[in-house]
Amino acid sequence: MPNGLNADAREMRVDPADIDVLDERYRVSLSAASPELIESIRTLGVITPPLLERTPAGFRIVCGFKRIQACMQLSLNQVSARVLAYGRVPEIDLLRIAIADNALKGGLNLMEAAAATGKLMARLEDEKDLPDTAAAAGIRITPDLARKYLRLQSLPETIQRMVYHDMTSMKVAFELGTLNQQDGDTLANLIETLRPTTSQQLEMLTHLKALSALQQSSVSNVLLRLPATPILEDERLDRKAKIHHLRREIRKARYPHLARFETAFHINREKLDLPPGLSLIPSPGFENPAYTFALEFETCGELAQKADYLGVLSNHPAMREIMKREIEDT
Amino acid sequence: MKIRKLYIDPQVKDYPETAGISARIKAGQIVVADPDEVLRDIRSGNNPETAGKHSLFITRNKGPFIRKCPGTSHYTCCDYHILHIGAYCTMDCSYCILQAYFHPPVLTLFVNFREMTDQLETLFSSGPMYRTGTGEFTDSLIWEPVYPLASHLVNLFSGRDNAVLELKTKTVATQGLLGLDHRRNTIVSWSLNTEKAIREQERGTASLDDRIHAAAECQLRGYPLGFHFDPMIWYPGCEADYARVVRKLFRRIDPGNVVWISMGSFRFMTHLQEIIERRHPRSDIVYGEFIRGQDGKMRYFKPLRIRLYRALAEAIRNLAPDVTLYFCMEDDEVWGKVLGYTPDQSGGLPSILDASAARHCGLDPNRILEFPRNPVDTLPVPPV
Ligand code: SF4
Repeated sequence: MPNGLNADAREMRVDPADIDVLDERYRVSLSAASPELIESIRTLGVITPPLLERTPAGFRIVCGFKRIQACMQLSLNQVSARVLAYGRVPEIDLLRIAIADNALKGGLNLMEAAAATGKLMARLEDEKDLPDTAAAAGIRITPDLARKYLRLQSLPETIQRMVYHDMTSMKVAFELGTLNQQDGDTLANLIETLRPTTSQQLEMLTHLKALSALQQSSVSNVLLRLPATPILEDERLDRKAKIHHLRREIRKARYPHLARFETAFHINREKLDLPPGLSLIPSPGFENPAYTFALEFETCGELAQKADYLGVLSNHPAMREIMKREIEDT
Repeated sequence: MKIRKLYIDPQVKDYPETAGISARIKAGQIVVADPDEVLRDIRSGNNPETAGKHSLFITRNKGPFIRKCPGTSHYTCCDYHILHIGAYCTMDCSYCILQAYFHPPVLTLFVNFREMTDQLETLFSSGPMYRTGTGEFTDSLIWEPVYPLASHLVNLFSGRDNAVLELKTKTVATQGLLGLDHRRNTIVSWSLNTEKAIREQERGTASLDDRIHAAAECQLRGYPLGFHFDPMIWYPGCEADYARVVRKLFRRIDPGNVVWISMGSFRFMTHLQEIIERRHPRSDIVYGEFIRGQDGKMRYFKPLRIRLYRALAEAIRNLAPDVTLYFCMEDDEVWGKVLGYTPDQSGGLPSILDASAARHCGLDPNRILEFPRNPVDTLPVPPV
């Protein structure tokens, strides 16, 4: 940050009407003025003056977009600000000041960091200077992160909004970004409505994309073929139950044989009527033919009782069915 | 695939083989001081796997030519020996592990054949029986039009009583083999798949009919044959399609002349998926019902594999009841449920295959496991 900045900025009172609020070249924060901020300015005034740059037509904001917005909403006709002379500080330094101001106040979320990266890169002559320039502004941006941020910025607005509101992860956002607009919007709506965890989102998205490739059909059509709409509209189901049912339906479509096999296993395991503390566990994906019994006991008597039960189980028809490990034909 | 660049290792630039190959390949030639230059060149583009199919690096094999196939944990391996003649392939199967195995992959042909011959002679004199093949890091016959290496090998193996060579291919480049005095020491093998799988997943390979026709020609010239249904690919209706391939095959091929038929289903390391999705966007091969196998690779859910194998094995058994059928990298459960026995019940898979090779190729059966196996270098090879 240039050393003489504070000395150069002059404190003065400015009419908000003279500020070009549409000039967002230094805007980093993407949120609007909160009701709390508006209320605080209404009762206490602006505690930290915004930083403005004078322009031939008036002023532009360097730091304090939300404060100025709040002042305008309160219809204040004067606001105290620190004002820099026009062109006195290079654009790149003003941007660093703007980024540092936001970063130090509470950190930048993913979309804000992406916006900051895009703006810094647009002003740097050599991309290699990005990590150092960003570090001087208080944020850490590696070249790999910079690529990801730029990719985030190129995503459709609906997806960017989800990332901004922390509804999804960068990874899911990129996956959504590979879909066509209609599919992206369909899934974005689904995520906004159900708010599944990011790992649930990734799982559903991966399966739906695979189904779309297999069925040579759009993701939206794949969803239509599943009973997705009835699940979403079922008023007896709460949000979590809807997520559960939808995931199950998607998985059944994605792994039809495996899902049927699992269901048959669960039904047969139920038939075994295992006592509490005794469980039958298959290998992951049923790949290894060995099954495991987990047996919990607290006394020798309980151990003997459960061991007897195990002996009986080997002749149980459901156990024999499980051990056959056959896939039924559809 | 057209070779656009020919990189030559200075160590082999004066070899007559290099001169012969360069004369046949009309491509810009670059003598590279450092092999890394080749890799850097290939890597610099945004599709190195494709770039690597347009560049051929002629060099020396600085390591052992013969390596033991390491197999994979938890699944039964056939104890095969790999003859490392070169790397990568001019064809372009979506599922090819070689795309992910070399970093980056580049067509490579080793021309220090004298050293290879010496190493083979040592192997031949060492006692036990060896099944050796060139089709592990590359296709066995892709370089025949440019350099008749396979023919050289056929002659080298001819008349040995303890070694067979397997040439494994998806081409029909067998013309050069037909007139050779092979004495049945060379098994010419084809990878087979359904016509749909060939059309959709095996870009640049010969059609099923052409492969069978080439096999029939080799049979006429007295070559024993092998067939590999690997990787089998599951899709609705695939069982009937695989049975159709078998019927087509045995309309032209005498089952008594088939040394072995292997079965294996598509399996892959997870990092291959990204390459397949990027390079073969029309392929849906990675979206099957895969689970993570005990060796960490993705495999079809086992009951589905068993169902697929049963359909194929039944079709083969109907027409060729005595042919030696085996699995590449499957466990005892699959063996038992599909073939009715496990390899150990028949002396182990290597012995089963050695015996079949001995029977069909006229090898000395006493060489089967006669001596303890020599430890041959086990270097990393593409996971099978
Ligand atoms: S023929 Fe074999 S080596 Fe060649 S691309 Fe296909 S799988 Fe790979």
